[in-house]
Amino acid sequence: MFEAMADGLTALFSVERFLFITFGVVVGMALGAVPGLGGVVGLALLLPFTFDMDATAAIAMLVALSSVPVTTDTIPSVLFAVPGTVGSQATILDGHPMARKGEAGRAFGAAYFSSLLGGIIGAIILGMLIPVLKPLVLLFAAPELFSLGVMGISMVAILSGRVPLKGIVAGGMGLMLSMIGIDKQEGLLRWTMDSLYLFDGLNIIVVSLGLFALPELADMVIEGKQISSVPKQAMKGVGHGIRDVFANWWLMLRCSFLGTWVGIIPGLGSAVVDWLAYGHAKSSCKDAALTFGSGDVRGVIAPESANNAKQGGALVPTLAFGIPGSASMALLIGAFMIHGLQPGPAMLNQHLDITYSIVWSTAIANIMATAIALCFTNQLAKISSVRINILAPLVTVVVFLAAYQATASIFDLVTVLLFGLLGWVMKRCGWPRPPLLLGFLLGGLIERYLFISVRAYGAAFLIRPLVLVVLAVTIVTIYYSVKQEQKVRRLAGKGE
Amino acid sequence: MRVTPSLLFTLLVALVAAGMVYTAKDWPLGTGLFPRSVGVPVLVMALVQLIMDAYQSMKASGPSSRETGDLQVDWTMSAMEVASRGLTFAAWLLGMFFGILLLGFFITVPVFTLLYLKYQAREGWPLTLGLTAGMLVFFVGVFDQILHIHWLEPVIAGPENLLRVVMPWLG
Repeated sequence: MFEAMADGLTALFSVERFLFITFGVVVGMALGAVPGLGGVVGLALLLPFTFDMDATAAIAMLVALSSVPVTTDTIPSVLFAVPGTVGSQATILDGHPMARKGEAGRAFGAAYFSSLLGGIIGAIILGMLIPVLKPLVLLFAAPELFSLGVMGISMVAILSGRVPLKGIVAGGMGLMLSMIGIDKQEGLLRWTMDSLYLFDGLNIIVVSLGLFALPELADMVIEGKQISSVPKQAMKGVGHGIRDVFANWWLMLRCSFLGTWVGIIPGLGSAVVDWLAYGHAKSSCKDAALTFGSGDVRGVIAPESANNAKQGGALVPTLAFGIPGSASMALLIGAFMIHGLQPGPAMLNQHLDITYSIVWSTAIANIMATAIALCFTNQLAKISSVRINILAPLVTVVVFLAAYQATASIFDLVTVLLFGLLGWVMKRCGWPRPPLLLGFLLGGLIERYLFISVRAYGAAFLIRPLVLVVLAVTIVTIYYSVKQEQKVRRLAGKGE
Repeated sequence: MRVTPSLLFTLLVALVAAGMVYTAKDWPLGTGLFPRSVGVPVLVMALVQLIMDAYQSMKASGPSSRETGDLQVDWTMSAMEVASRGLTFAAWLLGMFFGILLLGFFITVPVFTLLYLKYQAREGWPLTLGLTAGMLVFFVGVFDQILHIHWLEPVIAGPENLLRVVMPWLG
């Protein structure tokens, strides 16, 4: 195994292959920073150009490209509350308030450094798990995936602040919105209003852009100030953010493990991992109920370390079984096959060196992306002091383009505007938006795995050992978050 | 009882939930089980929330809670000012939407950017033209030339067709 690890690393030490990794990193970073795009777009664009390349260079470049968009997707999330990719939605909740407090540089520093460490931890876990992959992945059947979905939805309780009933109703409405479209079990239409656009359901990119990007942009325009009114000299910089990551190393480590674990399980997806990590941080960090949502750096470290670590985890089922956990992993499998590599046991025997070169590529890509991103952090942070009226038309155009490219339909724009209005009204009327988004993300997954579980096991699926463990963890998490909320209410009652 | 926007929104949520549950009542088990098992509790809780909001609106003014675990709102501005500025921004967004629908992306993106910067932001011509040009290059370069997005056919195709004669590389 160690020989294969060394071979995997030395295979990357050629100028040509290194340049291809660098190219993959730069393209991935650029795509991550533009809302609505991401690794899938990059992979789809570059895949045809790899036909004539040597297998190691091509796969290293594509793996690098798919690993790093989750590093730069923080930029629009922090500056404009526009999610760069679906994996950076939770970062908005504390990253954007940090930018408004003049701490954009600190938020970027913390995000990039926790992304780096999360990405490396994900790669290390991937490397370590290669010999024991099969039993680990087979532990998770439909009932376990259903229980994980329930665990995810329980985060609604944590994300609802002091309005739990509104949060639960919003989460339920999110679940119901996720059911719009063709029912996967019977093939019947649900709430499509005879619109062809709704047959496939609402698009997650369009919904999240509408719920978060437009309302935040509207509020900044209404206030008429720059994102941050803190003088440039008083802004906290990137070094502060890096120190924050070291100060919260245990949180970063926990969330990296959580991210890798979510990545390993096919089907949970990158849209969920940041919310799970954010919810975990909010329920487990000291005084989080008091400070999360108002610019707490721990609310940035948690989702950012998790979503980079997830990339390493997602490669586990892809390499070991040829099971893609996401669209980008499906494209990677396509790349493997184009270059004569069959994902599955062969990747763990005959092509073990290539498997390890993928592990190394993931780690190297994360290091390169962080180094490049850190070089521009302070310049990016200065955008927060530009007047919002100058930024507003530019961000609006990007939001419209990002929404339109989801399915290239005019109804994407109608949907983004409607969800923008919904998000703004919810915000103004004291309804939390994160539970609605979480319900929407998890609805399809919960229904699908519930259906399969009931068909395959009947009610007995609920007493499978791992299901019981996950449900117990869910109950404990809810209990602690309720306790924390009660503590906050007591403190607020005392006027502290 | 004072009818607040918050109360009206809760009422709307309850009505939507009721509508969704009602339409799902005749669906077969496989299709309707999940919508009904989620929808009915949501409807019940929305009604409870509605009663709570109605009770609150009799006691006090303003939203029932501002501690939502979401991004916070600046409550120092007057409601009139918020409404006026909010409507102005909404008008710009709708203008962009109808511009895209009628004239297409290639005309609307630069025109919207230029008009907003010049007349809403009241910027000088050098910055306005520079940013408009930059946005156009970014839009055409990334979304048209690299990503080859399929653009919708505008209702009034003339101006965009004319643009394609001048710039034949446009998608």
